[in-house]
This record gives sequence, structure tokens and C-alpha cells, in this order.
Amino acid sequence: MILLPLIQIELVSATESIPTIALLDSGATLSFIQHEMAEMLDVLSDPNVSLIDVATAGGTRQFKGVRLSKLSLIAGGRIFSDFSNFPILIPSQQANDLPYAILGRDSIFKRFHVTFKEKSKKFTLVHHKYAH
Amino acid sequence: MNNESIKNKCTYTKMKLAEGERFMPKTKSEFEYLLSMHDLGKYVGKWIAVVDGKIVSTADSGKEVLKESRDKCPERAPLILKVPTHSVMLL
Repeated sequence: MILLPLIQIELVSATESIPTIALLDSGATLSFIQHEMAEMLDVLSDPNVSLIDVATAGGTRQFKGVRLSKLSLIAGGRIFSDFSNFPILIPSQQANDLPYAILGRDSIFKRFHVTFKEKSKKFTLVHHKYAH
Repeated sequence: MNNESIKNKCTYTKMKLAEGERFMPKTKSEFEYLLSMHDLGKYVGKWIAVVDGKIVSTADSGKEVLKESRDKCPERAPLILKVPTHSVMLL
């Protein structure tokens, strides 16, 4: 059985702040949130929304690019890392929505060394400052 | 789930808060409790809101869940998610 590495995050826009979960995806070069979550955060009405073509496993899809005010990583009940002015992609149509938010290599993987431990069904994050 | 039972779940840890302040979820207990739930299967594909380790709202629409959970637990910051179809790995 393949387990999904999920992490709790908080998504912050100009008007909303919503704790949710995200998938750590070392195969994704960028980060994504669901279309419906973007609606809840009210970021789709941002005049600076850009349209971006992204190559996915299912072919090229169009996404909307916006910036969140902040994305926070949470573990053990505490925020342990923040990303400000965070670039995020959103499926342009709700019909192509994602099952969860996805954190790709543009964010968490740049700041932390990520180790997946399949046997113990866990993963660890070590800030690159403290990694050997 | 009736409104009264949900209300009780939301208020047993009620504390004084400054105006506009909301609690962050008790992440460890809520998140891990959520992931260890054996009957989460009935919520697969649905949006849910979790407060104090309890599911306080479920619906097909995330916006509906967000609104309902805030109506029922106005002093809390509910964990909002769409229940994934696969098993998960914890941080």
C-alpha cells in the first residue's frame, strides 16, 4: 500500500485564513490549491491572476496563478514555518479540481530536507541549516 | 448529527478570547485523530470541518462546510479539508 504524505497547513489570503491539509509532492515543480479552496480564500477575483499552461500527467492543463499572503506549515499544533507572498496555482475549471493542496519543489523542498520513511509510515522535515 | 450535539462539542473548551481572535485547531490531536479515524471512509470525497478532534460539518461544498462550521463554532478555526481517497503518511 502506498501512503500519501500529508501535512497540515494554513492558507492566508487578504480576507481569509483557512487551516487545511496538503500533499508533499516531490514530483511537482510547483504548488497548487483546489479551485474550491481558492474560492473560499477569495483569491480568484484578484486582478493580478495570470493564466499558466502546466504539463501534467494527464496532458497540458491551464491553471490560474495567484499569490497567497502567507502559507504556514503546522506540526504538533504549532506553526513552524511561514512562506510569505506565496505563489500558488489553481485549476482554471472546477471540473478539473484537485483532491487536496499540493506542495511542490518550489517551496517546502527548498527549505527542508524531506525524508520519506515508508516502513514507519512517516516522513521527516529537517531545515537545510541543520541538515548534515 | 443534530445542532445541539455539535454545539456541545464546540463549547467544552471555551475560553476568553480577544475580539476577533480565534483558536488555531489543536492540531496534533485533531489532525492525527482525523487520520486515524477508521470510519472516515463514509466521508471520502466530501468536504469536512474538524473542531476539537470532531467532525462538526460535512457537505459536498467546501464553502458550505466553512460557513456552517463557523456558524456552529464561531470562536474556533476549523480544519477544512476534502477527505482523500488514499491512506496517508504522518509528519
